[in-house]
Amino acid sequence: MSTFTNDPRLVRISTTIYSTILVGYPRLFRQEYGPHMRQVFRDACLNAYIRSGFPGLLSFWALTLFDWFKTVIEEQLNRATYMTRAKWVRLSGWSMMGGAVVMQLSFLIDANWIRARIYRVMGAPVSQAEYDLYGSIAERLETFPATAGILLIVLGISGLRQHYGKQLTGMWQGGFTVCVGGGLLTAAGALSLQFSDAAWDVLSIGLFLMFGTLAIFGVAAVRAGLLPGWSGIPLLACFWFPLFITLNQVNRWATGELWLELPHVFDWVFTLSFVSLFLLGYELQRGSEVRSSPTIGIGPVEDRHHRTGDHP
Amino acid sequence: MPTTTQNPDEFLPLTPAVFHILLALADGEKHGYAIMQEVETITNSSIKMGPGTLYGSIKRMLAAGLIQEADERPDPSLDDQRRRYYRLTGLGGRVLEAEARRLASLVALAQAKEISTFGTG
Repeated sequence: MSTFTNDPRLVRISTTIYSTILVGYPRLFRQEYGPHMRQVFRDACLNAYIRSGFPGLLSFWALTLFDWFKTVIEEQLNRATYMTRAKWVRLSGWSMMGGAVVMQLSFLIDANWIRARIYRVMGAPVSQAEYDLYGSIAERLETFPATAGILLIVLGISGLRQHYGKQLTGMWQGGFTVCVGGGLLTAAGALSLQFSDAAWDVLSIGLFLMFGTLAIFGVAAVRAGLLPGWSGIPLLACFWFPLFITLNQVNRWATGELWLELPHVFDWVFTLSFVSLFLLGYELQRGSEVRSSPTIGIGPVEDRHHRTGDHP
Repeated sequence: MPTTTQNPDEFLPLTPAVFHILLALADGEKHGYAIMQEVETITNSSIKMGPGTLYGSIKRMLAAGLIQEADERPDPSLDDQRRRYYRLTGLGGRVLEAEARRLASLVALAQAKEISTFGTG
C-alpha cells in the first residue's frame, strides 16, 4: 500500500503532500484510516491526472483541500467530545465506588458516634440545654453521610446511562431516568428522616425505584454481556433491596410491624449491595478505559462489536 | 434488548454522504475508491466525495452497525495493492430502504403539489 513508483511524478508528489497533511486528523483516526485515505487519494489523483492532465490535478486538489479542511475540523471536534464523555464516564465510575464506600461507612456512623466527636471538639456539655443541642446536631448530621453516598451513586448511575445507554432501546433508557429519579427521592427521604415519619416511606419508594430499575438494567446487562468483566454485577447489586423492601412491606401489611425482624438480614443486604455497587463502579471506570483503548480504534465498543460481525 | 431491535427510522434522515455510500454498497462489497467512483457515477458527478468525507462517514457507519469490514485484497481492475472492502449489514440495508421510502414519499408529495410548474410560471 505504500509505494507507487510507476506513477507520474506529479501524482507521487501530490500523494506525499497528502500523506503529510493527514497529520491534521486525530491520531487514532489517522492510524486506522490514514493508509486507506492515502491510497484512495492516490487512485483518484491518478485518475484525474490521466483524464484531464494538470488542470484536472489542480481541480482535484481544490476539492481535496476543501474536504480536508472540513473533515479535520469535524474529526477533531468528535474526538474532543468523545474524550470529554470518556472522562465523565470514568469519573462517574469512581463516584459510584466512593458512594458505595460512604454508604457502608454511614452505618458505622450513628448519632452517638457523632455526639462523641462533638464532645471531643467542643468539650462535654455542662448544661441540659447544651446536651440537647449537641444531641440534636448529632441526630441531624447522622443522615448526611448516607445522603452523600446516595448522591454519589446517582452520579454513577448517570455515567452508566451515558456509557451503556446507546446500546439500549428507548424503554431501557427510560429505566435509567426512573433510576436517577428514584435515587434523588432516596436522598431526599434520607435527609428528611429526622423531621418526618413519612420520610421512611419516601426513602423506601426511592430505594425500590432506584434499585428495581437498576436490577432491570442488570437483566439486560447479563443478556447482552455489556460489562467488560462479569455482567452479573448490576443484578447482584440491585436484587437485594427491592426483595427486602417487598418482603418488609408484605410483613407490614400482614402484621402491622414497621420492620421485618430478621437477625442481621439488613446488614447483609446493605453489605452485599454496596460491595456489588463498588464492583459496578470499578467495571464502569474500567469500561471507559477499554472503550478509549487505542488498540480497539476510534469508536470503541461499537466498532469492536461490528468488526467482529457481532451485530444485526 | 440492545441494537438487535434497533429501528431503522431512528437513523433518518441520512446525510447525503451516508445515503450514497449505502447505495453504492447495495449491490455488493466495495473498497473505498470503488465507493467514491460509484457515488460519482450514480450522481452524474454532482457529488464528489473526498477521502476525508468518505472515511469519516465509514467510521461512523461502522460504529452504528450500518456497514462492516469484509477483508483486504487487491482489486484486479486497478493494481496489486491490497484494499479494505466494506459491505452492508442487515441493519444498513433496512436503513437504506427506509431512507429511500422517505425520499420517495417526499417526491410524491412534491409531485402532488405540482412543484414543477412553479419554475415555468
